[in-house]
Amino acid sequence: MAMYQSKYFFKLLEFQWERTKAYPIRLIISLSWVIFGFIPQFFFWYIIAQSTNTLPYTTKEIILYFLFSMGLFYNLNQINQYFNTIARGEVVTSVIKPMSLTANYFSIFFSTIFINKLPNLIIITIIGCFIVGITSSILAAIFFLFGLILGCTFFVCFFLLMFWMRNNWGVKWGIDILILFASGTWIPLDILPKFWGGLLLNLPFQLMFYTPAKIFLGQITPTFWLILQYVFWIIILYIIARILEYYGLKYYEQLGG
Amino acid sequence: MSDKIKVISVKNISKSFRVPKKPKSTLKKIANLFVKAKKKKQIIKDLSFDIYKGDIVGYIGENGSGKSTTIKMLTGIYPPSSGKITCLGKNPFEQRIDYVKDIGVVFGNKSLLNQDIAPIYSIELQAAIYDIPEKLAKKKINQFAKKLQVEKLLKTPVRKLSLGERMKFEIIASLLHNPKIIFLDEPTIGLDVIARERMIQFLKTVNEKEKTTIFLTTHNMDDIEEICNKIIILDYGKKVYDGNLKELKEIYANWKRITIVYNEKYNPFCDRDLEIIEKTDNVIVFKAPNKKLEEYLNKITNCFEIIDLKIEEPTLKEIVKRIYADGYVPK
Ligand SMILES: Nc1ncnc2c1ncn2[C@@H]1O[C@H](COP(=O)(O)OP(=O)(O)OP(=O)(O)O)[C@@H](O)[C@H]1O
Ligand SMILES: [Mg+2]
Repeated sequence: MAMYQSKYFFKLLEFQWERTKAYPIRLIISLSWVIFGFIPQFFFWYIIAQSTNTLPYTTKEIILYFLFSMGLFYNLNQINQYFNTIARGEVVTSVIKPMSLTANYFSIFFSTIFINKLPNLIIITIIGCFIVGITSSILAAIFFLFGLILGCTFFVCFFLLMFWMRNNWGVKWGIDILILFASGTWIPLDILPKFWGGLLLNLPFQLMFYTPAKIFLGQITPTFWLILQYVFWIIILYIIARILEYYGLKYYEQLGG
Repeated sequence: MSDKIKVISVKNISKSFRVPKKPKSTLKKIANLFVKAKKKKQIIKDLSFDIYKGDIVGYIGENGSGKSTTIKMLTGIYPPSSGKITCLGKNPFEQRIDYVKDIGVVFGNKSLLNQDIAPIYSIELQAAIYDIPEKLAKKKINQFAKKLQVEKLLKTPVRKLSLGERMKFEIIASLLHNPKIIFLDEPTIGLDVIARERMIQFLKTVNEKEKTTIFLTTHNMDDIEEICNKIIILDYGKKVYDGNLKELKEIYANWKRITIVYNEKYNPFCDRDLEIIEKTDNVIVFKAPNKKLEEYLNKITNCFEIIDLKIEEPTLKEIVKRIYADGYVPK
């Protein structure tokens, strides 16, 4: 079964690459987002870093932090097209495939975002090699990918909720904000007030950006324990996804196709 | 019959959907904002049939009679509300992942292909899902594409293909893994005469070569006449006919079509007690019961100055039209 799906998975990467090539403009837009997103963030944090010395980051560190998180951030936008498939009944073309919806949509989400972010990841890793050193840079890239697996498992859970929510824009928007905030993409979690920082550091979302970014800065050294945390949350989210899938498909009959 | 292998067995299934109910009183309207009132709508009523290996089944019925709903139950997308479905010895809904490896499904209105890129990529992806070795998959795709005469279009983005061309690729994508049963929900919808014929012939060769069972819904009676050896007619969720085409024709063909072209009508009241199907300027089509054929012919020849006369068996279309209208099959 595992072999079976890994073949599909690699073919899917190729497939997504073809899709990206069909619209190269999307890749350019994605890259320019990084630049435009980065500039205001940079000035904002630059001013803060200059005007206060309570920040646990130097100016250089804060720039690197945002280079990493703004360059690689992803949200539901990139996979939004797949979220309509339940409301539009197109999900049946996935139901007739010999794999769980969880596995199928995970592979689709992961490959879409991975191909979309690959150019940025390569650029950032190469830049990082010169600035923060090869080890930190490559470890950060690896942990970013672990985080992407986690993020996509979360997206699958959320996607499966669409069986009940039917493509609700408000909720999707809320989830985007939650992820960007709770993962530390917008604000490094350790400069938040104690209560919030502490709370978010115990949720899985921080593993998506905050932890890889800190590894990038060399402020966290990856341990076996850290990897276990990823594995733990991926398994938990996977189980939730399978439960949602089971009940979602049962519920789906009432909505038809 | 007994030496045949049963591949689909449907026993007394019914299916109801819960549909929103319109609230009547104001109070109920307010309550409806929070909890939507639902009522049951029964779509399939006590349906049973068996299908054997190698059958080509035409599943027909009016719009909204529950054909697509049946296909969705047979392909494991949702279970029946009651009753039992066994396909290839499995329960389609409960053993979905195992079961769908052995079936192919084409929905005329839902695409397996990605619109942005060439069909070859979607088809190869499909091959990977079913674990078909890459070389074999490539060979098969080319072979199928050649047969359906679309090999030159394999690299054209799907959104630039015509409906018929796209349909052909859908069929290729769903046949790669040699499914034991193929379900096709209106595969010939929107196809031109030639494209339709080619597709029907292609399905026929697949059926002959691989003994694949084919289950298709269609509104085109020519499809049925050309390939189906069994037809099931559904009338608002109830089965009204299940058997082969010949028998259906025998039951219903208890009348003949008499078409005449005439010069001038002798007596305006002459055709009063003759049943007429169609009447234009100088052409009349009569519906003559087999028993009264002689009587009809006598009257017609007496009443009209005939230029041309034709006696035919009723077409399947007419038979089906009558079944849809009456919803009843005499035995
Ligand atoms: N999810 C659903 N909820 C409520 N009603 C449904 C649902 N799905 C189908 N129906 C109803 O069930 C009936 C049968 O639908 P179905 O799609 O099976 O018809 P069909 O025989 O395929 O018709 P057509 O020839 O138009 O394709 C229709 O009246 C339709 O409105
Ligand atoms: Mg239909």
